[in-house]
Amino acid sequence: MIEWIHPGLILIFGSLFIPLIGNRRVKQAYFVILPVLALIDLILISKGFFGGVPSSHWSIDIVGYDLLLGRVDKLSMVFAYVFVIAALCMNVYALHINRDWEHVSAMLYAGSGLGVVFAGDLFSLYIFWEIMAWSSLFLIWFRGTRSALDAGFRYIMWHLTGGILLLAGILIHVQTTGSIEFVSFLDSWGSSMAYYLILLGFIINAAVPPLHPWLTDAYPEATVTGAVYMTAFTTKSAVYVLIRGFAGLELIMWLGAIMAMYGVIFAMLQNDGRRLLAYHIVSQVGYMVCGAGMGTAMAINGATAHAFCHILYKALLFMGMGAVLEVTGRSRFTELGGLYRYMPRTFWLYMIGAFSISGFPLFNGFVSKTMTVEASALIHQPIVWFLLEGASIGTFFCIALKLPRNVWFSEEKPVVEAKEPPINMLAGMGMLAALCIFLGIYPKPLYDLLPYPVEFVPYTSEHVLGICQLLFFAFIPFWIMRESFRGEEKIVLDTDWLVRIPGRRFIRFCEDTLIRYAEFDEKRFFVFPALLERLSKSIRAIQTGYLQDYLRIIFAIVIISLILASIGGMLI
Amino acid sequence: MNDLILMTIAVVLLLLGSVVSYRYPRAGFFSAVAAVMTAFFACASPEYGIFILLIGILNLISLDAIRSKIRGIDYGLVGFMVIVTMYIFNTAELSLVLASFVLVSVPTYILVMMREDEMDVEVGVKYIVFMVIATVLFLTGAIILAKGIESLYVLGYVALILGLALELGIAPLHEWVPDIFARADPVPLSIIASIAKIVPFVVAFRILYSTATELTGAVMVFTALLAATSMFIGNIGALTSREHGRVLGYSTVANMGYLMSSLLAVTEPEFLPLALAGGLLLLFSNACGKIGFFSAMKGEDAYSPFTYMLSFSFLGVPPLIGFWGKLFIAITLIRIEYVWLAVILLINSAVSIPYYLRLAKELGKAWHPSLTGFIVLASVLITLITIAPNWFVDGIEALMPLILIEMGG
Repeated sequence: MIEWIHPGLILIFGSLFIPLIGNRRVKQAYFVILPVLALIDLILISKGFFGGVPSSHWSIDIVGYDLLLGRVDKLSMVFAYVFVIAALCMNVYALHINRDWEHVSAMLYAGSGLGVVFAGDLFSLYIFWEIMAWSSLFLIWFRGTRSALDAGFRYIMWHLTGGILLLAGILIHVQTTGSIEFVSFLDSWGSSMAYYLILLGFIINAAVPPLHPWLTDAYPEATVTGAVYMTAFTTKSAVYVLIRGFAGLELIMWLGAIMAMYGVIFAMLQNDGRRLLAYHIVSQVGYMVCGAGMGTAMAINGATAHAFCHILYKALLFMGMGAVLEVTGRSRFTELGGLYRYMPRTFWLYMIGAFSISGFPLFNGFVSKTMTVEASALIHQPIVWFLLEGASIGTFFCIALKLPRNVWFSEEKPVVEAKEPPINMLAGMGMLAALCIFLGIYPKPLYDLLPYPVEFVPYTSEHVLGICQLLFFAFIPFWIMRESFRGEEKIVLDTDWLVRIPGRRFIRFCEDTLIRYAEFDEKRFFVFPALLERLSKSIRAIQTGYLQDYLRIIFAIVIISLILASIGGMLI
Repeated sequence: MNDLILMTIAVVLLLLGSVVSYRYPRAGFFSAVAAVMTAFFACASPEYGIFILLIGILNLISLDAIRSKIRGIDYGLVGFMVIVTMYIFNTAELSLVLASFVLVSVPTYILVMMREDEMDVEVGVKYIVFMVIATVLFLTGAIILAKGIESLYVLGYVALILGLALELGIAPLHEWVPDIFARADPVPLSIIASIAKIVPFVVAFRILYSTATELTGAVMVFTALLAATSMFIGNIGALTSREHGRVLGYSTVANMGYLMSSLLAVTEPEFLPLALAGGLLLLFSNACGKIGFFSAMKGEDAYSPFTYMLSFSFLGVPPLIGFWGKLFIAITLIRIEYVWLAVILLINSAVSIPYYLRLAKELGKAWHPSLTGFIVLASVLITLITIAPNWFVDGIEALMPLILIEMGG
């Protein structure tokens, strides 16, 4: 009997056959069947066909270390389920795409995400982590534009750098403890450099500010379907490893809470629909990171549930905006407007995602977000609670009001004609929308999957009234100031609205700081390349091209070395 | 004994092919392929041999991409280097080991001069001067070490390491590398940067291990410093170099720095297999990358996903071969308590990201079937052989009893 089948490897190895299939219909069917097979595999694992949950499988010895590819427990299963369900819906959405290698990249990416989730040791975690980075890179590059190429380049630089930090941390940890098992590092936190490096590697992938620019830079540049895949796996696998490795670390609780608000603030300044949504990934992942940092059973459940729901609705939102881009070729608010009359179905499907992310009752965001927010209240962290609730208002503002108004409604004449996207795109969106509503109305299947028993009841009058009040009072100012929320051609960091505080100096200080930061953010990478360039030039200065110069240098080094060696030899 | 007969047959085949190639150049190619395959069956380690076979055959095929004035003989020269590289673990005699070092080096003197329809003597002279100095230093060091005179041990060690550094292009003795790599033809360079690097490393590894004394631990810092210097100078030098050949030259300097650090394990028999496996995998990764990139330069038609795969392998992205090479070396360094060097290795991997990606971007084109395109594809496939590297590490462990060289006083 087969001991176990890795769902990720079904996608990874299965994807390699996609370019070999000639018939288009067969290819499309195969592309949908792959995640279905992975889903069946997961159901079999859940049902105990391969030894129940928790269990361990596929232990491989490599140079004396036991790599564990299949650590199955409740935490890994809930992430695996949502990864596979999302991959299925995304594959349906991407069926009309003819680029085989884009499909291969997407499945490698999803498969390696599953690899991370099931990795029981740090080495196999690292391996899948890196495969995830480079397979997703092609989802950006397949867009083929100059800006996509550049953004992809920056994206991979971030991830490879993060990967190296992670590897350095892992190696130091292994050297110190002798173990490669991937367990909680909370008890060892602060005892070695290793854990800072590992955490740094993790939070780069979680897009924690200021290490987030790779996300907001690259996701809007990816292909229409590629961006949808990217919303699901990198940040959420980072949330998974944070829960696994650093649950209860107060530092990440604060990082998460700040992140939730940070993403929202910067989202408000965006003119590009997909970039606005990308900033909201930063914000929403903030809830999860914060939940992981709180570390209580309810917070972990909240973070996990929110990751599950977020993958569904954020993919749906990106699909909606992607559909607009697909049929109009535009994603800037200043170039769009009045699309409702051409794309009503897309609009309503998008709005289901928007209501979900805003945490409306009867949508899945409500059943997960409230759990994390309540967890912060229960551990008496009012500032965290305030940041998370505040971010909810901003999210509603941007995604349910600003974006739809600019894209689908406009009091001016529509500047572009459009039509509904291909049927498969609507089908993919429909599947996700159905899940958003289903889990919003009946959250029990989701709660049953969570790592800890759930003692949380979302539909209490307190929760429902609380969120309704919040959203209602957010709507009123939007309606009053609706003209101010139109897109602008340039990203102008006008900080006046942020700080209406007496004293010009203070305002200027704030403006300068933000603008400087934004400029740094625009560069999106480290400042040390200039230093390296200077060093590099001096190194190249000795390359005169003349044999005699080189011989002088070489003889000098040889003679000095040999003299030193002779002296050293005598001394020793 | 059988292996000696097979090796002799291989050499005879090669000589015959080279002679006949005067009239029928194609015969030179086929005899060289037959010879290296024969040598493969005599190789002490099939796991090691399979890589040499694949790299060697790719080197031979790549010669077709250049209209060489010495067509026919060039197959013989490359075939000979491959056979010697196959043979390097078969003998425990110092004289033969040292002869191998020289025999792999000499054919490159001629290859480096190869250009389209002519010979570039100036490049050849420059290169030969450095190689001769390298050989003299290396042999002097090896003989001093073999004599086992304690008072001269440090001198011998340093001379050997300096010779190796000059031969492989390790900083600060790397000056010839970027210049030659920027000027010579990509095809011979793909050979010089791949197969020719293996024997010097293996010979140095075996000699240092066989002659290690209690002094080795102290003098090893010299090797560690050279390794670190080479990593930094190589990577930083590559960052602002624009010519692809020069970037690849500096990349060699950096890679040889990583390689050099695996020599620090020679005093620790426990970690020797991991260090040797790491060093060899790094050499194979370097060979695949250099063959691929130089072929891409020559043909200007490499498929861009392949050039990116080669870059990822160089950067040490799992599960490609370059990852395992760097990982094994890093683990070895940490275990022998050279943590600072492991950290420098990782920092340098990060520093190298921009230029490898730039190379991949600039050399990558749309898919177009061609000879050089095929070579790039084949080198990418080699980087995937060790997705699960256990078989290779097991093979190297089995090779350990053959590592020791008889010094004979």
